[in-house]
Amino acid sequence: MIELSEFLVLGAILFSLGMAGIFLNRKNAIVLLMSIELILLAVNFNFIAFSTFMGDLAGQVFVFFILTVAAAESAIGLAILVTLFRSSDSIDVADLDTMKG
Amino acid sequence: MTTDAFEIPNLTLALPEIWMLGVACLVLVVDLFSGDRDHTPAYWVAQLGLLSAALITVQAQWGLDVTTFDGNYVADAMAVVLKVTVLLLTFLAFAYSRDYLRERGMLRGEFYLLSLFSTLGMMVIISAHSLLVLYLGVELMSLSLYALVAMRRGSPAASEAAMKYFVLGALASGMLLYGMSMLYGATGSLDLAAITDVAAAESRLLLVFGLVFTVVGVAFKFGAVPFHMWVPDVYQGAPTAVTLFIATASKVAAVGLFIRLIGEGLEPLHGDWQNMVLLLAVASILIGNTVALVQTNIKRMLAYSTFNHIGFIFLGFVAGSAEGYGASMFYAVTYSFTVAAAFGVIMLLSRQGFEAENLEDFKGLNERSPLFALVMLLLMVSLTGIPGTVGFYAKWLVIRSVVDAGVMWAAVFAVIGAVVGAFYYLRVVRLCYFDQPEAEGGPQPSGSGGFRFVLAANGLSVLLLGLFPGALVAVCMAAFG
Amino acid sequence: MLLAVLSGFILCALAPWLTRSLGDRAGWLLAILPAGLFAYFLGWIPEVIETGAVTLQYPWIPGLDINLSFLVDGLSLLFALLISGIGTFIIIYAGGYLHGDPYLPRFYAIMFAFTAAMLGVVLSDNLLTLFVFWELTSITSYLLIGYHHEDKEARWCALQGLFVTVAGGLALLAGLLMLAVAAGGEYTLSGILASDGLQEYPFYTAMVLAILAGTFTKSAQVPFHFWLPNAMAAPTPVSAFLHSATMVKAGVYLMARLNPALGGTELWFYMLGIFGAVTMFTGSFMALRSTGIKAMLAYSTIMALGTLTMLIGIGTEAAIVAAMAFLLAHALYKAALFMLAGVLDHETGTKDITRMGGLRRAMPITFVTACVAALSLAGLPPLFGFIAKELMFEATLHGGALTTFTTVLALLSAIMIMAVAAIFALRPFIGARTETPKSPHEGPLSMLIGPVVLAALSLVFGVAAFIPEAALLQAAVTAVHGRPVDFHLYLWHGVNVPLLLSAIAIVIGLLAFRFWDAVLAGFRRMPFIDRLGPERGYERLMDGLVWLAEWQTRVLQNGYMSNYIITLVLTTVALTGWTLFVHTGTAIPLGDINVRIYEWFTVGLILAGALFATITGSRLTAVAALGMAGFGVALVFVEFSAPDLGTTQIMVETLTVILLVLVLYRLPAFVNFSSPGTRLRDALIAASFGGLMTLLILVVHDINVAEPISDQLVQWSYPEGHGRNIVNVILVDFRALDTLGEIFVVGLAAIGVYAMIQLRAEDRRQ
Repeated sequence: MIELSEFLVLGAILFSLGMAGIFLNRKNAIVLLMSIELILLAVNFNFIAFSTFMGDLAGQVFVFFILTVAAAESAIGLAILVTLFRSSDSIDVADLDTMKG
Repeated sequence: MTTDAFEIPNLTLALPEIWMLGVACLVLVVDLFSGDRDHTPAYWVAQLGLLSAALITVQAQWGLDVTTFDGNYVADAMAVVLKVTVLLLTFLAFAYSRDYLRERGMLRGEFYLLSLFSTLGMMVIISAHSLLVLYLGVELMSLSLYALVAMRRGSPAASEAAMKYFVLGALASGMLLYGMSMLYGATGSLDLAAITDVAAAESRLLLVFGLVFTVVGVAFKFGAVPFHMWVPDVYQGAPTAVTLFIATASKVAAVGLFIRLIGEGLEPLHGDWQNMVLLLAVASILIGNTVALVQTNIKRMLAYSTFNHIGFIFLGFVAGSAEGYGASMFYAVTYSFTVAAAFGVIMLLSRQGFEAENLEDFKGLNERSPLFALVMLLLMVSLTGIPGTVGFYAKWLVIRSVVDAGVMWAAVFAVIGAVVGAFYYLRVVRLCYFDQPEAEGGPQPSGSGGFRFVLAANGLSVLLLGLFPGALVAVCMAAFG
Repeated sequence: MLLAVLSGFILCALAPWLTRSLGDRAGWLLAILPAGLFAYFLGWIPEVIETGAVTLQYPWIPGLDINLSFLVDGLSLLFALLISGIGTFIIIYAGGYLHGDPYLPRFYAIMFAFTAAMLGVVLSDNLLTLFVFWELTSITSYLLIGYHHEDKEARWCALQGLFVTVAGGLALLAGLLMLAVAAGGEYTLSGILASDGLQEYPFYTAMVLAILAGTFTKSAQVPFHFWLPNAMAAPTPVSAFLHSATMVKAGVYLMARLNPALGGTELWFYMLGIFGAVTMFTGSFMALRSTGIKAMLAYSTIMALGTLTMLIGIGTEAAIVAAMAFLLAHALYKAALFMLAGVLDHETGTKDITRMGGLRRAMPITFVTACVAALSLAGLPPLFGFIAKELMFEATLHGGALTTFTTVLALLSAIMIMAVAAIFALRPFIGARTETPKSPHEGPLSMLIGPVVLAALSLVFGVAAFIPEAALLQAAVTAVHGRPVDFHLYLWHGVNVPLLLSAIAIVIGLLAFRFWDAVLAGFRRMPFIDRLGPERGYERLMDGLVWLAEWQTRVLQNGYMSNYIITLVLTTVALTGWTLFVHTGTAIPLGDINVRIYEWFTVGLILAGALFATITGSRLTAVAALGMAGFGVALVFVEFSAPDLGTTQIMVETLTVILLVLVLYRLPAFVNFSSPGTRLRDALIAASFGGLMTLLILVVHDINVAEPISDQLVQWSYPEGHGRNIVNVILVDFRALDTLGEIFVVGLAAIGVYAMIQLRAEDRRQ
């Protein structure tokens, strides 16, 4: 019933959603972090699907690592967000434009 | 992946990384228990650790070409060259930034710790032999760098730079990963050697998709045009000490990343990625040069001119030959040491409450400090690629490899790029030697004797390598057999 | 030989210290080195005459194919002798001219480095070392020209000179690279000269153009000639050196050197012939227009360089002989004239020749020397310049397709140069004394010895032309022409066409001198000439570059992160699309498309719903439009013969719409954050990225590693689940637990809905 390609399609859709979330959003930096998580999720989906259908465990091991790293990544992202909010009183993505040229 | 028997991997092969991990942990503990406000013990432990790690790398890995950890880790000559370079660059970064950070109240144990972890990440990238290890190395390096950029907490510019760096970096990591997942799907293995075999055996469209996404990810880590926009912002926003580290060590690691993942791993797809890399190279040279012309902030100027050099490094990749990789490696190594010294001079001239960031601050440097004016002259001449300094040989090697690859127009284009580069690099020389300083006399060189000594040695080594580049060229070429 | 070339660099390090400790006498002492080198190179003459060419090798960077190898033949020896010989006098002269200058130590240091680099250029056998030394001359001359660095003008001029020559130098690098490739990976000049078939190289035109770009910029050929007069900002000893024997002659050297290998083609002939002739004319014309004593000489240098280029281009035996003779003659008189100009400037305090007059009493030696040197410049007998000029006319008269063109231009130039020479030799010295800023008297010995000796040599070589011929020119001509040429130099050729042309030139030139003030006034009325020069082009180019850079920075690096991301996304899409295109052409694996007409209708319905939902301004409309898309999906199910799925979809869709309406009813209206333009842009980017991912999905459809599970489910449906409707069997049998979970979720949702409806009801009651 469910073929490999269907998982991959889902992965692709999640990935696209993540990308869209990043470049369409210009208000809230937290949404950016969420979109990034979505992208990683899409990757996880791909890995698990491939891993299952090929009967190779390495892909699933990879997913464990991605999950861990993603947690660290969010932690750092949120920390940067906090310093950003402290220094500029805003997490508006559109406000990130003081450096140019 | 075998499940029937667990073999103990050959740990001595991976000794450099294990040693660095130990050093980083030791720095953490030492810093925790020492009451020294300047973090002197942590500094010395870190510096000694870096130098010893370089020695250990040479000792443990030179002349080998073996894998361990079930094919996940490789020790070869290329790894040695790049790792030693990264370690020495970190050493220089620490040596140059101590006074700078202390004056700005940013001298904290975390600086050393994060930098060391980042260095460890770079070493892991350089020795990685599977997608998983490669990814872990990239993330260890990147995550530490994000935090380092945000280290100047009160500054809006630093936070903004860190946020941009983080979001774009995470996005690029996502792309890289997505590409890796497709490579895995198309080949059924994470091992780079196995991927090469499968890719050579059959051509799959999925593999090409995976290739594009990985190229994008790697190009971002380099900061190649058009994935470059974070670079100037990060260079400007980050403390100069961190900028130095990002501008040098991470580029060297990125060379390792490229050669491992795309150069060697996806070697059968050379026909596909050659044009992509060529395109990135040409765009980098074009954009980097023209934009650097109008900069008045020297950190931004160096950032933009970085693209020019990244373009040259990419040009070396284009050939996909041993000579090409050797040329790129030589370029990256010499370039990073040159730029490290340039940032060193910037920090030397900075003092509390004053960043020597504007080009005007270099006016009349010759009157104030002939030695460092000479160093700056050598650096800029080398970056321009004028004969007599090491930068020329780097450019020469790259251009020769491009000509050998039969892409004559790219070689000519690169030469034109170098000409435009002369314009803004020599402007700095003109300021140092021929212009009078502004009213108050301009910034004086500050900094301890050790700092000055290392910096002068670093600067003069550019000249020395320019006169006798033979040994380093031989090493870089030997790394690719 | 190695020591001979590198000794300059060694002395460069010692010179400042020596100068400081020796004081005034430093110039004389330091001149020992170039004098010694001169003697050393003289010692080579017998061997070169005997063997033709000698190569010497010292390994330097074997990994890069770079050896310090030297090629000594007639041509390189001629140049080496000129460099070291004139260099000797320049060093002595500088001691007098820059007497008491605080930067004198630095001057000597750079001067020696420059001399050494110049020797390196003319003696190198390896292309790369040649290039290294070539660029070193650019840099050291930059430092020399910008010597008066307090002067903003001097700095600007120095930078301009540097930029033009370095740019040309890098073009040269590209050319040399191609040359090496064309010669089959041969990086030595001797090897390249020995290899044949370079003219058949497919990139021959590009190669020649790149090399000429390098030599033309270095040798100040039109249209790159503008930097040379600007380089007049240099102190006079530097100008004398740069213009007579070095720097600008490096380009001529390389063209002469490569003539046997590259010459003989139409491209070479026309490029060099035309550009050389035009440069010659431009130089002499500009010289006549100037009033600055140094500017005048500078332009006449351009004339000489043009002549040399033209002669090499013509390439006949006579032309090569003329080129070599002219080279020697020019080096001798130009160095002398520049040093004399320096004496005049130094003693009178002005560089404007119109403000000098009647100096012959105060400066008799200068006067006589100037006359001799200027006679050589003008090409009058019995000086060596006369021989050279006769040979030049001889060559242009047999200039193949360019005979008329070159002869006319050469005659015009000769006329104007005659006038210039007369102006230089007579104007400051005769007539009434004019007031000058300093009261003039004869220059010191250190400043006069050079000009006197060089002018004397011009005379000696003219009278006894066999000396230079036998010693040097025979060997040099052999090197440039590629094979020995039988020729002899005479002062008196008998009455022939060249002599006639010379006579015309002399007469008209003297007339021009007589009425120079009128001529000058005439030129003044033509200011548009200034505006036409290529210097404007250079400035325009620089301005344009800066403008481009600023524009590009504004556009690309605007600081907005969303723009950064958009670039990233678009590039990814472009790269993927391009690679796919290259990889597979347009054959995208679309599979079998067999769409019936009513299916198009359904697709249209779904698309319309989705599109409407994104562009509408009202929430309720959006919900309704989304519902439309949902029902379209239900239709798809029906069309693919799955009525039960279709029913489920309709029910779910209805429920969703109701829920959404209930929730959204309480929210405020839409606020538009972005302008229509932004939205359109975003829509395009989203569409492109969506297209990319669709392609990807199409690609993944051809991957099926394992057997799909659906076949098994079909097989098991009746025997195991006792049902003929597979979907029902899956829902209630194979996946019963999942269904239970879904029912649970739907139940929860229902409770939520119920609670919400209750809330609304309470609202209304209150």
